[in-house]
Amino acid sequence: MKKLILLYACLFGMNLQAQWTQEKGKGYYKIGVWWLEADEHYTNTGLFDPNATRGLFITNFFGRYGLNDKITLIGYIPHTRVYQNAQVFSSGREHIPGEQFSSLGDINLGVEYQVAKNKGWAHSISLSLGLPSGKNRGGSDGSYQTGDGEFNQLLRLHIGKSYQLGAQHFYAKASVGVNQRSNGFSDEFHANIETGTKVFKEKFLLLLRSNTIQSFHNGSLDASNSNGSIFANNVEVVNLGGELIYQLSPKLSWGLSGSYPLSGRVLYRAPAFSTGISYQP
Amino acid sequence: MFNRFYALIIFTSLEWSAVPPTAVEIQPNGTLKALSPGDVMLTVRTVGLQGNPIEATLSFTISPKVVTEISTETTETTTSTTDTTSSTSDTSTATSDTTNSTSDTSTATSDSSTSTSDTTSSTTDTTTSTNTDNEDNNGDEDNTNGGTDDGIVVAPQFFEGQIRTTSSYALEGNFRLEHNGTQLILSIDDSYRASSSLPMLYLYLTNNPNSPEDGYEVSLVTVFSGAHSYTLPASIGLMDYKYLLYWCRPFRVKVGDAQIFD
Repeated sequence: MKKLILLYACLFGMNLQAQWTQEKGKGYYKIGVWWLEADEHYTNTGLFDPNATRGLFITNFFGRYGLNDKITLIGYIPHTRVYQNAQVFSSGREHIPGEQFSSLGDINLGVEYQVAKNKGWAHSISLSLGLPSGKNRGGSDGSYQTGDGEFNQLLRLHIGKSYQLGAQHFYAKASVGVNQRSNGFSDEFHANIETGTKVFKEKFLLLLRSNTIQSFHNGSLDASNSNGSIFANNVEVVNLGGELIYQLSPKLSWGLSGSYPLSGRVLYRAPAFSTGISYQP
Repeated sequence: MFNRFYALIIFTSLEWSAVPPTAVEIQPNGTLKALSPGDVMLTVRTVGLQGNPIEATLSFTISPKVVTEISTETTETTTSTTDTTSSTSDTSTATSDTTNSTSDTSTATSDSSTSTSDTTSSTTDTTTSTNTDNEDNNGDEDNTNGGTDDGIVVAPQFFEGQIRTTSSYALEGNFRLEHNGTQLILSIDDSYRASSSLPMLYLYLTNNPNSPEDGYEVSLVTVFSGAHSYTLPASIGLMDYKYLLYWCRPFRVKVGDAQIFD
């Protein structure tokens, strides 16, 4: 579950500015935080159950750099903190103290290749490698994971299009992909759509996005063979979110985003938020 | 039989003894075989669920019983001894008397003391009557069980019930909590199914169906279908805990439960 959360943070960050690859020698860099706090979760049946309030707080760096006009390098480096609040009981029962664990999360490194770009359309393909740099066991019971301990490869096809509605200019982009996972994890189908436009005298960029992950259920990993420590296999979600980006200067911008899982399996059921400063020299 | 908790009672590790020990032979299942006539005090002992000794006693008299065909057999014996002893008539008398009255046991004993051949006859009578007496002894044993009405307290020896989910995670099955004489065994049958999607599912024995606090942690659940069992420490009694509780430790939420007894 946490892996998926981390993955979202990664995907949502990496989606931004995708499809239109960077020009040679130019980059886009963002430092941000992403957080979530949940007291219920989607179970494997798609229904949801309560849980002790848990939170994730991820400080991350995301960067893209144009190796040339067609090839862009992508990197995402998170530092993840997982915590659980103390539980206090009105019955007088002794409270249960909270706990936290933090470490470097799973790093993603990728490359995007621009296949074509003409007449407002952009086509690209990307490959992202998920490195098991996080901890797949943490905290007193091992459940405070900051990574899934597996190596994965996410291959995606992207398409982007600029369009106009009246006098308002928009862009839209979409991608589909397959995430091949190792160590008994099920492979996944990924799909994303996003549209955005500049508002308020083009000082703000308003984005609306949705994504889904569906498991192929071809993995062998579950609680029966992972000593009960696994949260991350066969997770599924349909997520809806948005982002508002304010142009601080020609090179600096500040963004605030939120998302919510409309449905899911083995996933926290709570809104997630992020904010960050981006720099585009 | 069923006790007041409506749970079937069985007896395990029962220790039988008799005074005098030569009077009866006790089978492991408690069936008696009379060996010699006379007064017998039968005692059965076991260890209660709290480690306390439980004991019940029953006194009865073994009496030679001879049915008609046995008398014939005895007569044949007597006949065979006629040539060597004059006690034949005594034996016959004893046989006749025995058929009519248990008080004649002493007569038979007397015969035994006076004649080797009579002793043989007497023994034959007793052994034979054992078949008859067995029925009586079984009847006596039934009375012993029914002796709960006579003040003997019999503790339940196992409970059975159903495991149910209280969440949206799959969890079902039947359990049996049983004392094997020294430890409790929690057996879960092959109807058991549990979701393997939930991390760190633990099984507890508790008195609060909603919390593992002050309960006993049985184990991390590692079996998600089929029959399996857990052996509990000898310090845990059958009636120490009222519930089985399935608990997701990371989320600190109840996943399912089962009631052991009211």
